[in-house]
Amino acid sequence: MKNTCVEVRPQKSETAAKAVFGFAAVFSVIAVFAIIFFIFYASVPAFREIGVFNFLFGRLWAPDKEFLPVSGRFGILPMIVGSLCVTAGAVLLGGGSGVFTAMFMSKFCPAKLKGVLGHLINFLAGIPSIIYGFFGITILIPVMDRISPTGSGMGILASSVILGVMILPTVTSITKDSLDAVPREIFEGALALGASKEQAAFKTVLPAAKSGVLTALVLGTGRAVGETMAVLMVAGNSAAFPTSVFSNIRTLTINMVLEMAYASPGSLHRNALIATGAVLLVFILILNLLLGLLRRKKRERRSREKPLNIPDEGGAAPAKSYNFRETGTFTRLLKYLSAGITAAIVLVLTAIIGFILIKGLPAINFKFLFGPSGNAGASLRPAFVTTGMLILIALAVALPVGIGAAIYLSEYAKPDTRLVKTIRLFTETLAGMPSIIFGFFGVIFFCEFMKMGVSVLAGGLTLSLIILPTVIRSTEESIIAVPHALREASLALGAGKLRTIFKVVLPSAISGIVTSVILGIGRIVGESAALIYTAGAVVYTPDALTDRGASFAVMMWMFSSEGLYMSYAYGTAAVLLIFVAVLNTLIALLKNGFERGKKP
Amino acid sequence: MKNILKTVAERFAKKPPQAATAENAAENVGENVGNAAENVKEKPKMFDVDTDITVRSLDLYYGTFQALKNIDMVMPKNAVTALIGPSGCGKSTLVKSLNRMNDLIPACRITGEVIMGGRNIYDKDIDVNLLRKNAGMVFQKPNPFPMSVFDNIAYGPRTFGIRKRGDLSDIIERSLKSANLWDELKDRLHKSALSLSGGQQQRLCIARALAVEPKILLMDEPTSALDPISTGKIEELCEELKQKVTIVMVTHNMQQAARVSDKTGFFLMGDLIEYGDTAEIFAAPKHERTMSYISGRFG
Amino acid sequence: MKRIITLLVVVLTCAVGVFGMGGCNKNDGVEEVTINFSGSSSVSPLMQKLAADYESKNAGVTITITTSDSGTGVSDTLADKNDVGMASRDLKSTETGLTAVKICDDGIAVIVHKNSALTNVTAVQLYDLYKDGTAIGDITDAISREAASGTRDAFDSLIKKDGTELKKATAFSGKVSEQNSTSGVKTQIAASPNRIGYISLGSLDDTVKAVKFEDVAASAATVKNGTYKLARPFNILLKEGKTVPAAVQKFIDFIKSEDGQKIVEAQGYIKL
Repeated sequence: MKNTCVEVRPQKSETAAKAVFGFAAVFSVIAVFAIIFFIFYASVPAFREIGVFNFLFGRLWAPDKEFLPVSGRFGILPMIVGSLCVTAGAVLLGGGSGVFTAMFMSKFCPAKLKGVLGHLINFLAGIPSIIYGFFGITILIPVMDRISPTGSGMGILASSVILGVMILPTVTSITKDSLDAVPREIFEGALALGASKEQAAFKTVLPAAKSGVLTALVLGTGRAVGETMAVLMVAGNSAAFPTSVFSNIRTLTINMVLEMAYASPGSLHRNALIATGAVLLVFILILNLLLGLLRRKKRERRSREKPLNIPDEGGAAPAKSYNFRETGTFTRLLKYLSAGITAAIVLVLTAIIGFILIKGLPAINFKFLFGPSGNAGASLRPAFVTTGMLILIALAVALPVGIGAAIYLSEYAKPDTRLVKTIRLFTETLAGMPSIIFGFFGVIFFCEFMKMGVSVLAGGLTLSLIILPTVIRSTEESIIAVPHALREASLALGAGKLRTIFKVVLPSAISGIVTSVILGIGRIVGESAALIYTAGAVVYTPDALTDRGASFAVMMWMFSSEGLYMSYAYGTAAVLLIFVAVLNTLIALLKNGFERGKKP
Repeated sequence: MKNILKTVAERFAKKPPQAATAENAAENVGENVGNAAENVKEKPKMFDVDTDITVRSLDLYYGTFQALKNIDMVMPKNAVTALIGPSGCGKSTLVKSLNRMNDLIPACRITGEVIMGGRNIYDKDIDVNLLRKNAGMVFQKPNPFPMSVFDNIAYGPRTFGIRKRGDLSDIIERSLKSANLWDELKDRLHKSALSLSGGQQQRLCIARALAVEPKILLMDEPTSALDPISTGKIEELCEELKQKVTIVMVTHNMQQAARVSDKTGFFLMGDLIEYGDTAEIFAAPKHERTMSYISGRFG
Repeated sequence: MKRIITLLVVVLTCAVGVFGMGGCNKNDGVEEVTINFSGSSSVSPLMQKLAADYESKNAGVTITITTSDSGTGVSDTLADKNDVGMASRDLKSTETGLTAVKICDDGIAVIVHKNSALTNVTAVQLYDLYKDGTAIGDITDAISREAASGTRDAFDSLIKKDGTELKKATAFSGKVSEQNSTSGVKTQIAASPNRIGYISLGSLDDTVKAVKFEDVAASAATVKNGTYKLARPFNILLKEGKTVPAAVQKFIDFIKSEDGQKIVEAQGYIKL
């Protein structure tokens, strides 16, 4: 055959590749359906035996009171109320502060400070729930005890504060992005009318970013509803109706994680706990729906018709003169409020870090980190091994699937088709699911249905679902950023699409992939709620994938809940914080390097 | 940012205000700034800008780059002054320095004076917000706020303390009429401003600027993003508006300058090459460069 | 680009290096036996001590202890999920198919904040506080363990008013919060002088103060002579009809032996 001939042959490998990428893309849809299906399927017996109405609106939760009728002792209304109260409180405190912080960062703070604050907020976002809970119980609760009229600080207020701090980074960063995205002309237009900077910021830019702010608040709400380990430590956990902000409460998530350990498989009690998960899932799905609507609304123009009673006099309007006077005191106050709140947040973060490091660093030594761990005494060695195994399993699954999905979405699918929209919707739904839901799914699907038992393998697979959306998003972003000209250059040289993707596109998108790996590692290191019942909570080092093993956060939970190793708990917390700091720094470096690389 | 504002202002505070004693300024206070006399005594910084605009020895730097070089010109009251010249010649920069929008650019540094109502607007004690209220600005790209038509126009008055619905309605009607937009929009006041056509958006921006009763209207290539019909409407509008306000307009369009303006200034590389009556400039330019520019040989 | 790849390599190397450490410390030549325990969090601290001692004396034996509570100890044993279950209470009449082997007795200490003025409580006071929220002096809040806890089961059956067990109460007062571990209770008590709670006598330390119950101080001696009424047995559970492996039997024998019981006593529990 001459070198100059053009061969006619079907591009089998290209078609196959497209199918593989397509499957990877649909994977998150399947995962969401599987989660919904298995959780609902496993809760059917509970709904049937207890009755949906009795379950949802029952006022008493007392699984152990076997002398009561079944329909009367499995009521989750107190938990629903508890979840709603705590979430409302968190959104009020954390959401409000988040919006103000974002305003400060976007509009009022010097450029240098903005970068520093951005890193701090990211750091705040990276701190594992378990550390927030630990901070809550050791610092916040004693303070609350003093404030509380009953002398007991645990309850709605404490939970709201902790959750508020936890959702703040989410709210802040999304709000800040949407504020930054408001065209500069809008801001300048307001200034040119004589508005002060504060007025321009609060009265034009903020309203212009309204849908972004709402999105941020809804995402924050989702995070608050689904948060488990931190509230568990500060809510008081009694399944009673709250009467004041200092009332003990139990949220849906607390109910799930608190009693799962001793609800024997197959028992009604356990089914009722899974059904609690189903109710939580419904809440989360509603929030996701809301999010989808918000996003759609953004595109449509909002037009509300309202009759206005301006008399059309036809002729010239009376030349009344108005007393124009300068205003803006209120917005100036808002600015100071923003600065104050931002300062408070920096203070809180410093307090958390300082407290953990001061208490934790002295506990860290070689024996604590790598010494033998067993009945004679615990060390972090099992956590290193387990976490390493978990990372490898989770990445081995999530990376290929996630990258494949990202390739499909950016290289193959036509943008904005129904399929792509569906995939994105489900990926976002997956991203918005609380850890505890993943944990329950892992127990039902991996541990029991797939008969893996409580094992590192089951935990790792559960985690792969958790980090999948991050991998997809971050890879896709960086693939899209690859200039089209590069692809064209490769295709013009006769390279196939597949070759172009692997040789040109993916190497250029490497920073996004690495970022997703680091983000995934961060999530895995700090994860607790999803792992306790899938990978187990033991102090022994796993030898095989089928053994039980505890990651860092689970170890910390064990240390702090067994109480015998309080200094170990602080030590583990310090180790976790160091991990978070290192991973965050890596991501920042990566981003910088990437941005520098983009410039000529 | 605030610090930069201050340093810019402080730098020019050294120069004594031109012919402006406190009494002088007080006398000049017009009904548009505040109709109560005690207002004036409390805030001697208030002065009426319903006068000619005098630019004196104005140098403007962006970092090390000098964008305006020793500009001297007087823009007469109740007239349209057009600023023409090729891209990057400094004409937009000049118009932005008339309401101190350049303050927003951190690296921007100004020496010289811009005098309105007997005061240098770069004096330290000048209230920039009030200055901008009284020297309204229309931008190159229409920039309505993402709110209803009503809220867009009400923005300025609300910023300056007008809260009553009735007052606002009056102002909105008057402003829209002044911008020849009332008939088109009176039934759509609560539609999003973003749903309007480009030309309507730009006239809405003019109406928005007019709502706070400015005495000066600064227009930075207001028609460059518009079609010929919308452009025509805005030019007509300028004719009408100059009865009440002083207009300074930057334009790329020679015909527009010739049609609309009374005075024309030609800029090149930051220099004011020639400034005079529009008729004269277009009929018999004194400078060769002006000639070649307006005859389309470059630019 | 190069920088990024370098970074990736560094990250992964670090990850694998750091996380992959440890693990491989098997002693060869000795027969490997693993005994799995699961159940009560009250029993497990004691079991850990026993196991640690036994492991040091018997090379090749690994004892893993999975901690939850007595309910799980029972169900895991029935479901063959462990070799031995642990329960900090007697078996209920409904829990059949199991053999319980008592390894020691344990008192339940009623604890308050170190600075609390309270020195003595009665069963009726506790009953009223837990059920109806009636304060005992400054003590307004009570802490309970979670529903399946053996300690709670024992406490709720031992606290009676007019012959009615606290266990029979339909619901607790809103003043009662629930903690699912011994340390959770201790942390809560240590944080506020207004709270009261209960823990295993063996887990008592100086972070909290134990009060007298019905005028009797909690100690190994008072539990043993039966004057301190808040007591319950620690049991290990074996499945009926399942042959006990020799290694497991050997360890159980060790627990009941002189050496084993010495450890029991040293930990603050009451030997057989």
